[in-house]
Amino acid sequence: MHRKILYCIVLALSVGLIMPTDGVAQESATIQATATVISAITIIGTNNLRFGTVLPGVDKSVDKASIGFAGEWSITGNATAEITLDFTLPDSLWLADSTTGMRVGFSSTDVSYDDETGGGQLLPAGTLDPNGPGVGNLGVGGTMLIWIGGTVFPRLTQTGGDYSADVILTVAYTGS
Amino acid sequence: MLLGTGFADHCRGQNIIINNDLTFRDMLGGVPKVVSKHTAGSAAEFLVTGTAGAEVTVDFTLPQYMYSSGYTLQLIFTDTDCAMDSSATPDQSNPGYNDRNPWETQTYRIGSNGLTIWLGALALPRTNQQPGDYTAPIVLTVTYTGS
Repeated sequence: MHRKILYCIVLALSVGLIMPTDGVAQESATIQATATVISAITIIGTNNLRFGTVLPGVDKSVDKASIGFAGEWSITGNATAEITLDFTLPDSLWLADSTTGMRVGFSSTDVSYDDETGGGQLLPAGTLDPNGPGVGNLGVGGTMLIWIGGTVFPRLTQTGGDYSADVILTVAYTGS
Repeated sequence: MLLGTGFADHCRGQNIIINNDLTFRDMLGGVPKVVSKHTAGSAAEFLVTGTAGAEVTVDFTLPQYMYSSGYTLQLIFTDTDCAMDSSATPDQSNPGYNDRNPWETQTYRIGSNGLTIWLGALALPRTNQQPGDYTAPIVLTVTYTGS
C-alpha cells in the first residue's frame, strides 16, 4: 500500500516537471546612461562703467577702450565654445532714492571683445552691438574679455547726486 | 536525467547581451543633447537571444536623472525613443519595430538572430551644471509570454 502511494507521488512529480509547459522565464540586464559635463561657463564683472563727475547739460561719453572707466566682464568656459552674449541695458541711471533719473545710451559700437586673438582693451579682437544679442567663441584658452562704453545725457536741471544702474551681460553656450 | 530534461523544457533559456551603453559623451552646461536611438555607438543597444519565434515582453526601468557626486542631470525618454528589430540583419537606421514607447511594455517575437533593442534619450544639463561624469542605470527586463 505504502509503495503504491510512493509510486503515485513520484509519478506525479515527474509528470509535472517534464510537462512541456511554456512557463514564464525572465531575464534582466542593466546598462549605464553616461555623460560628461565639461567646464561650466562663468562670467564675472571686473570693472564698473564709470562716468565720473558729470556736469548738468553736458553729455559725457566713456569709450570702451578707456581702461578703468569702461565696463569690463571676464568670461571663462570650454575652449573655443560658441556662446551667446545678451546685454540688458538701462535707459537711465538713478539716484539712490530712485526719484530722479539721468538718461544713458549705448551705440552699436560701444562694446568690444577679446577672444585671445586681440591685444587687450586697446587692441580688441572686434566690436559688438550691445543693443542686440551677439554670438562669439571663447578663445583657445577658454576665455573672453568684454568691454562696454556709453554716454550719459544730464539735463540742465539735473539734480546733483550719485547715479547708478545695473548693466547686465548674460552668456550661454550655444552647443556649437 | 529525467529531472534535468524536464527543467530545460519548463524554463526556456534566454539571454540579454549588452552591446552599448547610452552614451552622451561631452556636454556643455545649458545645452541639451539628444542621443537618437538610430545613432550607432551612442544609443543603448541590447541583444536578446532565445527561442526563435517565442513571444516576449520588454520592460524598461528608466531613470529620471544621471548622478555625479550628489549632483543631478535630467534625463528625458520620449514615447518614441525605443526601437527593435528581430530580422536576420538588424538595421539600427531602419528597424522593423520603430518609434516604440520605452515607458510601456512592448511585446515582440524573437527572431532567428534574436531581438535587438535600441534606446535613445535627451539629457538636459542646467546652465550652471556642475562639471563631472554623470551616470545612471537603465534596466531592461525581458519575459517570455508563453505564446
